[in-house]
Amino acid sequence: MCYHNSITIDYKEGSFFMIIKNRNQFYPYLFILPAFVIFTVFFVYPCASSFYLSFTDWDGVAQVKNFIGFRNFISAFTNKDIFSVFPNTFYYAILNTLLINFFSFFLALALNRSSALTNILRVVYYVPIILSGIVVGFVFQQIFAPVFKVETMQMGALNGLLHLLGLDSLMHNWLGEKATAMNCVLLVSLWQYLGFHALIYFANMQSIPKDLYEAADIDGVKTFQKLRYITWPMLAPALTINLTLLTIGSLKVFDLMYSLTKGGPGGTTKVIGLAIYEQAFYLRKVGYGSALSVILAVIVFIITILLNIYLRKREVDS
Amino acid sequence: MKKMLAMTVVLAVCFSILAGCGKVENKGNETTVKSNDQTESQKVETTAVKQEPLTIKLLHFWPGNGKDAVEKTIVADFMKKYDYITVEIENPSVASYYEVLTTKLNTGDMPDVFSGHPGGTMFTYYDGGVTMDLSDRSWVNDLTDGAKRDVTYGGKIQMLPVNSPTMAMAYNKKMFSDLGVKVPDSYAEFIDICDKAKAKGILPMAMGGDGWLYALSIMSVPYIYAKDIDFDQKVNEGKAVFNNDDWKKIFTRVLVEWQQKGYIPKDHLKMDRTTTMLNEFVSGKAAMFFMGAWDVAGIRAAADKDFQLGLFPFPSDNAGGSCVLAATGEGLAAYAKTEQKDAALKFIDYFATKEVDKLFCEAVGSMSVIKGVVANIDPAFNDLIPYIEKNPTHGFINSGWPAEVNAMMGEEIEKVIIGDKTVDQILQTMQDKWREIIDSKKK
Repeated sequence: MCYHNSITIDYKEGSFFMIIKNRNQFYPYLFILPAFVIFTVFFVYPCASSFYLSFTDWDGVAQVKNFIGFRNFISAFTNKDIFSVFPNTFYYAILNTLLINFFSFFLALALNRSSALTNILRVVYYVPIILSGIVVGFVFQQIFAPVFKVETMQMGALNGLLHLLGLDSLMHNWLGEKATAMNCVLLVSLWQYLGFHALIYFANMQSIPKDLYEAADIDGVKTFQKLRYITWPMLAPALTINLTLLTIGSLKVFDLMYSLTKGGPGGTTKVIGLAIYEQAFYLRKVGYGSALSVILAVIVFIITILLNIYLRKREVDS
Repeated sequence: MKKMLAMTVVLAVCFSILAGCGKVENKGNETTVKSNDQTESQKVETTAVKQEPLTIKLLHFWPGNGKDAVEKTIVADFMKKYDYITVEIENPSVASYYEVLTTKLNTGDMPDVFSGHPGGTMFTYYDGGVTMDLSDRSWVNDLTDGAKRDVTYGGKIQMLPVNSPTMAMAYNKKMFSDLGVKVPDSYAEFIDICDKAKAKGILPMAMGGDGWLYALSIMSVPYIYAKDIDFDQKVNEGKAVFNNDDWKKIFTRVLVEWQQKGYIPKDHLKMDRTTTMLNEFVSGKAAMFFMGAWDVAGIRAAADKDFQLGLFPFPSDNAGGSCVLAATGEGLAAYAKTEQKDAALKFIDYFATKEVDKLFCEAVGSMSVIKGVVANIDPAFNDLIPYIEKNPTHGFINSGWPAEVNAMMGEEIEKVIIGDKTVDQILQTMQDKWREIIDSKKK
């Protein structure tokens, strides 16, 4: 009551202070305030700060941040070492997005049945997503470890399994060979994120009207045709979400690469996220690392916008 | 009433979020204002006369025995001696240490005294004016010449060097005896040992993970730095090149020849050095193991009591040229803008006393860099003393390299191992990078 009475100044119609005069209109703003503060402090401020630092030569330690214009950006586009990480980044992003989408769609189909087992499996497939990328990387490092001594079984779990199956010719230094390292990371990513993206498809499947399938059954439509002409088109919103999330996440990937390969062997799994970390934290070129982050953000933004324009159009067509 | 309660909760959440930020910021401002308002001499005088209780913060990265020695003995005794000084300790892991240090610097929470690795890692902090000039401290004259050189930057002593770990080749004395070989005095003798071990089904060298860095480091002393202690400086000045025949020789031996001849394990990059390889060595399945002083405790813990550990420095091509890698491993620095300059310096001076340094070196198993201090460490290190007395020593391979060259080495090495590049090509790449950095600094 006191608070209400304290606002006595006659402000112009429609001004912020007029709005807060009315308690009912004031409360919604108050309730979004914590989220707004968190978003500003932990997202807006770091982003703005990173953008500002990208125009400086700051090393993370010096008290003075010298403004150097676009020099960091010019350096990024003319540095062949940095430029060489983009093919790796796009290779990973494209394959990761396609593979996870493909398998998660079929996993969602398999889970879209009501039985006690599927209820348990839905939880089991979701569990990997709650694990930290660093922990997952550590575990899979042991699994992919190379062969040291066959006779004493001193080798990683995967090679050990192949040996027990008599498939010694397939044993590899999985994370230490350029032909297999990136594909191993893709496999781990598939294992970790499959359940999460399947859940998005699954949620969308639950919302497809049952009468569509009943009508199809009456018309004698076969299972594959129902999948092709009912399920798949109706999953357009889930596809949009999954493709968008996976594209963004894959282009920004850091934790799995860092914990599994650290960009090796010989830079064959080095992606832009690792290059940014190396420049900003290891080499202490915070300004330069920030410029790379801004470039990555712009790339992700453009790709996401284009992807969404296409997918939204597809949703409408569906 | 309910609405009031809800509003109060919301506001409380907002303020609690902002509270942390405000605290750090205020602290930062306070530091700046005070250090400007009060001259250093005034502060020292005030402390000496009044001896009001005060607190200094110590940030260090030592784990295990080093942590115990610093925290339970050195700091505890220091606080007894100076009963008005309280030392608050923070001990992040060495892996994240510099991120923590940089974060503290940028949030106004800088410790008054902090540990660091003299060499390239600290150059940014020296350049940024973070470390206090310690040139006038009395202990400077007690430092060995090498240690003094390692902590001097811009003509100033930037840190107190506290120990001198070594890297060497560990060997199984009994196995050498059984093979009928002795400690090698030349590279030809070293290869002879490898061949004899291999012929008996013994792995000559247990090398894994970053063991290649240990090998290159140990070999760089007799092949590069014993010939020219100022080699890095000469590359900086354009008077020497990195891609010379000597570097090519040691890189080729470690990355190509040893692998081809089966002296080191296949796929060694993905073998864990301190578990898989160390166990091979102590269990008598490998003859030699590239190690640092910090590995000795692990070797002793994993080996049987009757395991006979020996150490030798890497031999040169010619007999009698074995040189020891003895680096200035770690040091203590004082924050240049500390409000507690007197107490911070007192702590560093206390750490520099011969008794304290000896105690610390014995805890971490390192030699001392203070003249006249002989630490009683693992007897295996005695094997190295004759070489240290006879031939020059040098620190880690990359202590004087630009950070960018250091950072790219691992990736370039892997390129040789997976067959993407030759040794010549990676040395040329590293030389080009070094030149590029020097040229950019001139601009």
